[in-house]
Amino acid sequence: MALIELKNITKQYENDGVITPVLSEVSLSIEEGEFVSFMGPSGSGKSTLMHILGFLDRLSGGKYFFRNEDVSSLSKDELAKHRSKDVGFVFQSFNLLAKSSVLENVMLPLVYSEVPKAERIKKATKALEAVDLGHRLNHLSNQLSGGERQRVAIARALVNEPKVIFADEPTGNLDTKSGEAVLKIFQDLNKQGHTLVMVTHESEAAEHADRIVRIRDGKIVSDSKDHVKRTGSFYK
Amino acid sequence: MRLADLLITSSESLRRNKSRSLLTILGVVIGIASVILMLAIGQSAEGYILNQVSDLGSDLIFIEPSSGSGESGPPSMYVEQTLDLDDVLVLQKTGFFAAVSPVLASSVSLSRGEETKFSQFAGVNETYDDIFSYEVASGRFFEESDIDAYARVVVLGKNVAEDLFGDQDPLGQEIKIKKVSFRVIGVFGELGSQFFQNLDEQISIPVTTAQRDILGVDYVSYLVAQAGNGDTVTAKEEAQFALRESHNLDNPNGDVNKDDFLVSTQSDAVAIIGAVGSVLSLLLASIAAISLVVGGIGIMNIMLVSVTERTKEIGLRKAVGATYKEILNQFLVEAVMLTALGGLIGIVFGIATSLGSAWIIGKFVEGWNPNVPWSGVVLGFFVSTVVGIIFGIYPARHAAKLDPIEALRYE
Repeated sequence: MALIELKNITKQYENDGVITPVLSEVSLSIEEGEFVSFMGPSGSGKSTLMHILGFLDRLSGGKYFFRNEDVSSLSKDELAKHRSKDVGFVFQSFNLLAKSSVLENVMLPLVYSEVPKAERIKKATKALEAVDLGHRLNHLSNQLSGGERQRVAIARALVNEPKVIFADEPTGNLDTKSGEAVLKIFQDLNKQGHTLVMVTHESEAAEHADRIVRIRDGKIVSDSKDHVKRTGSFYK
Repeated sequence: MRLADLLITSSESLRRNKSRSLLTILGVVIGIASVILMLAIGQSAEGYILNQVSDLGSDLIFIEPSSGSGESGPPSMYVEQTLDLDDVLVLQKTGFFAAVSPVLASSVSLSRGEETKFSQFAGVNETYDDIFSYEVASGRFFEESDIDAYARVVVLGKNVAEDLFGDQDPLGQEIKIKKVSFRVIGVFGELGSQFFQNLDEQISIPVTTAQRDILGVDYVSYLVAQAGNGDTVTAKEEAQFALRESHNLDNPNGDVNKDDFLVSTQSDAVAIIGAVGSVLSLLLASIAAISLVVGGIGIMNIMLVSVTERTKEIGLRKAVGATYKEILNQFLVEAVMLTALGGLIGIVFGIATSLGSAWIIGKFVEGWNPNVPWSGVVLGFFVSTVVGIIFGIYPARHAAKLDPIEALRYE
């Protein structure tokens, strides 16, 4: 059973009658436990693809199955429910609440899934320990370095035990060393069984993933998984 | 989202912007405080005037000339003077009144030697002091014979006596009223104020003398009568009946608009004052309500700014699972918290200024009592909450409708 199954999905934006196609006829399947990179230049549609997979955006055509459930045409509130319980996000610009503590930031998703307060603290602490920030619980997020902030964001993405974590250019705002650390965390999480989808335009970052899907002009131009199938050996 | 989390989330957002939150609610604070202050002053004024009326005595009826509008009002030069001393006799003859006094009121200059003074006088008969329970502190009030004889005698108000005579005993002394000499036969005790007029500044003289020697007229300003058994309703009807007959009015149905006089009782006056008071309170409160609307618009404005500023935060909240309703509630609760807090502070201010102003006015106007309009307090809190909902809904919808992707990208 594939975690994510896309069948010929398209996405287009309409503005004043002008239709701009963003994705055309994209088919893709992601298994549980995979670490996938979407790679491509800006404007290729890789972020839009991630937004659709992450229930932030809706598709214009085709079918999207999430754990065999057809999620192609959900209402906004149903999308919000899926975001709350099935996925976690890590953004390029961290998107932490500046005047809130690290712990409060990580607990935020649990507020919307109505987890009781005591359990919230327990889960958030555990998630922060997983990214080596167990000692920074009560710091304000704007007192942290960029690398630490992104690790808080990863803990936030982890805290509701999502089926898949989406990372949109997670190293884009970080120096090389912090970026490496973040990618290392992703690899560790993947080894523990987490499914990860990372959008990036840097091939160095992309290569930390098991599988690289290259996207250009709204189409998948290559998928290293096919290569595996063809050669019978794991691409690395 | 749980209710407790909603309240915590909203209050923390407000706490992070403490000074702005406080400035934002200033409009509501002033609005609520002024509503309460206005209602308090209105109630105190009404209470004060009603007290004055009841001090007059509940068994009194007043008869004044009327052009037929059926309503009581201030003396007007356009109203024909229709009452005279014959009307006093007519009322006395009905047997319903323990006492009837005419009052011919005007102002004149008094003098004693070099000392001159401008004063209100009342031309009255011998029952006047009993009707109003005015105490004569020294000397005596008029006898019937003084009235009949056009006697040139005067009873002085306490302050008039002090101003003209200082420490001397005024009894038996002469003063001049419009160059006519009068002998002082009595001095009133302290009478205080009635309807913003200081009775201690007034003098009384026989009505007959006042008509012939001072004003040269044959009418009187109004009549005051004391109902014999305290039944002012019957007394009023009797007075109307008797006066219609003596004035030769063709008014069998008792239509007050056809009368050339108007009879009013204390309860009539109370009813009118009550009606005027309600209208006045409503007027004051509605002016104050306008400031509440202005305050509400201020809240809406700041909430919109806040939504724009926090676009990224809204995007993030949506990305981690917040629904339309959860975002809507968060901003709505923020607005209601702001206005409700403004309402509470406004109530405290309103009560404080109500008591403070009553204390200050009480220094100048005797019998002005402080008043806290509790209905206004409850209403103020309720209204401020409603203002929050009304003016919070637009910014909150604005926030809840944001597209998560665009909101996350917002810089």
